[in-house]
Amino acid sequence: MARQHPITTEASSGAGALEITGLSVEYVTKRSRTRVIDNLTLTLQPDEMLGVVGESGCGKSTLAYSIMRMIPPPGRPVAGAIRFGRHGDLLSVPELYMNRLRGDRIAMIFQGAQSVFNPVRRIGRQVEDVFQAHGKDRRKGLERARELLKATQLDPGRVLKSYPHEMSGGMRQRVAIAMALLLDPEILILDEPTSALDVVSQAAILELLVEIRQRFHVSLIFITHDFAVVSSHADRIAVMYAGHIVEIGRADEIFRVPRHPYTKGLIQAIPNIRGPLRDIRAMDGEPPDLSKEIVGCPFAPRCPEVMDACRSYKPELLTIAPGHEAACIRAAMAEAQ
Amino acid sequence: MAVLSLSHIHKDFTVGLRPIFKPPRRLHALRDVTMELERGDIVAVVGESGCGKSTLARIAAGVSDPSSGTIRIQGMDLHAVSRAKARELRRSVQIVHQDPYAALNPTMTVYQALSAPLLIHRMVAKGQVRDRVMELLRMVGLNESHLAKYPNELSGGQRQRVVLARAFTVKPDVIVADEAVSAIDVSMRQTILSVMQRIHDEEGTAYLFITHDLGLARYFAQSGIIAVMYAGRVMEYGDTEAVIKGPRHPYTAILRQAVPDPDPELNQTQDLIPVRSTELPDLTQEETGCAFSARCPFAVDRCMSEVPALRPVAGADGRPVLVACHRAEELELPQEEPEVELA
Ligand SMILES: Nc1ncnc2c1ncn2[C@@H]1O[C@H](COP(=O)(O)OP(=O)(O)O)[C@@H](O)[C@H]1O
Ligand SMILES: Nc1ncnc2c1ncn2[C@@H]1O[C@H](COP(=O)(O)OP(=O)(O)O)[C@@H](O)[C@H]1O
Ligand SMILES: [Mg+2]
Ligand SMILES: [Mg+2]
Repeated sequence: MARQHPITTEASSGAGALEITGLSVEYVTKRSRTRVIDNLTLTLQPDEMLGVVGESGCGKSTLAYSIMRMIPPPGRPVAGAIRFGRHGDLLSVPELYMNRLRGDRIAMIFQGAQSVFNPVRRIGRQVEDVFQAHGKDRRKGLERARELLKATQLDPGRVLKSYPHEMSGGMRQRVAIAMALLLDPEILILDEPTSALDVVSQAAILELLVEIRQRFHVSLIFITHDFAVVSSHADRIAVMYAGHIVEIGRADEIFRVPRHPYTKGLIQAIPNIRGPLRDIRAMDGEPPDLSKEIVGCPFAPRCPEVMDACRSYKPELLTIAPGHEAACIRAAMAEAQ
Repeated sequence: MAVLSLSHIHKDFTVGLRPIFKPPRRLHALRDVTMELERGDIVAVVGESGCGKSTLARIAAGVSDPSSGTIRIQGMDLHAVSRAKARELRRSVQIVHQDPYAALNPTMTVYQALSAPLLIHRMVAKGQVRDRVMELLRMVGLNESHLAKYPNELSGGQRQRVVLARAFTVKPDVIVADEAVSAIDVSMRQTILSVMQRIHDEEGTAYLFITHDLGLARYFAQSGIIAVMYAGRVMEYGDTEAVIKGPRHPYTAILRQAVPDPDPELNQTQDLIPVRSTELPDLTQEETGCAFSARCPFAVDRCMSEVPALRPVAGADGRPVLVACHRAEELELPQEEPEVELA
């Protein structure tokens, strides 16, 4: 059955690992039509760690689900393409082919999922299950699992013999990440992988990701509402608001010279531990209701730097410096001068 | 006089009842915790998951009883007064949990949630209930338009404000906030914190502010105290800035380095203490030494064989902090980096 759709293995064209163009996703019910992702374009580079940051409800998980082609109904993509190298457009490959790609070429750690594990099977057995499900050698699987688990700072022998409940939440999440890499995917998506953990466990996860990237050549998409988590570890950051990317660029540059007022707001909300205590500031208001039509810049109602034009004109992403784009009229004007 | 004082609190849980042939074991969730809050004090309790923070919160709020130790509210020993008096005293300590979804009854409107405790505890005359509800709502930054809303019609941040307002219906002297903002987006946390801060400034409410995030603790308890807990014990206790700028306990230093800094450069230049392990100690074992020794890169023989007492040591700014580490004086833990000029 699956043989009809063997995964293409020719070398890729050398472009981005993943190229999303003009993606729009809507949740459609009889009463409403909610555009959760609006004309989003984004390229993931090979071996990079891209941080996707924004407040709850801005569409981060939906973006991840779109890539996995697992948008929960009644949501569906209504426009755009997600090109994944030699495999073509993920939105249009046959479902059976997509099934093979999931977990194998693109893996994902789901938000709030402490339950990816089968509670009554030892981790070792679950590793074998993964390989069996994908028609691969189970013994090779255990070998690879051992290698991956070493990167987690846990004792592989012990972990493989453990049941999920015998590990703390932080350990389980690290094991889940190791398991997601079993089939050597090209892309790993992590949706809020540390939001339910304490900072010590979070630090261990971030360290694990650094290690994984060096050893296993995988592109990472790390989704979070906490700017500090990604700016400290990601190569690039994409800031999302109301279904749009409003700013994108190198992490150090976004931190040092944020151009979108929303990005500035996210940074100002972080309590600092190094250096003299800074005052933190919350952003006023809340993200817009996406089931209503938005005129102008979606951030305008909350923006401390809002101008009249912002309320009628919707800014597009504009290049501000090489590799640094922002969707803000003010930023664009400052650039033009 | 302290509004809330906890002295030598121990808390054991019985675990492992199921296997018939094994005797049940005792899990030591809190060991000899002593803490005191005067009117308007802010004490932040910090530590990773499982170190006993919520157990302490529940005991402080009277939701659960300690296995041993004394709790005094307004100077009165809860065990030495009548049950009615104890109940009245306990009302002056209110708890706010992490999850505002679970804390609010989904079938009650905001007005009902806030008016019920006012009526039950006869906090105001019947005719004044509505005025008081409005006053409470305004205090937490909500308004008339929220009165008739049900919890599912509110955002997480708004819900947590309602929970705070409800905690405040009975005019408590102390609010125990157990990870009260942890489930809320970073961008929204400060609005909740500033509501709490305002209640503190205006009413003199004291806070036991519980969090796993030392950065958050620093912000909220900036003029107060930080208590660092590990495996049910207080490991370091001192003025916030002293503890943050120059931790004296290796565990505090590790908690500090775990907080990510948004500045990518600062993260790379930190000199990190190597963490030997991430595993928590087995709390059902009797202590034979320092609970942190298995993870501590500085542990020596003595650390394995002798439980360190919490004792005064000179802090970063010269003032004493309390530290439970045999080697506190000799260790050179990373101190605050020289100030970096930001462009
Ligand atoms: N089944 C659904 N029907 C309608 N809207 C939905 C549904 N699921 C999610 N949404 C909306 O989609 C938006 C984005 O959600 P999500 O992708 O989960 O954001 P994030 O991960 O950034 O918090 C939110 O505004 C949410 O209300
Ligand atoms: N009701 C209980 N029964 C048994 N063990 C418990 C109970 N409540 C907490 N514990 C244990 O006590 C320790 C401290 O837990 P807790 O106070 O919840 O820590 P924290 O809030 O810091 O994460 C943990 O090991 C936990 O498993
Ligand atoms: Mg999400
Ligand atoms: Mg807790």
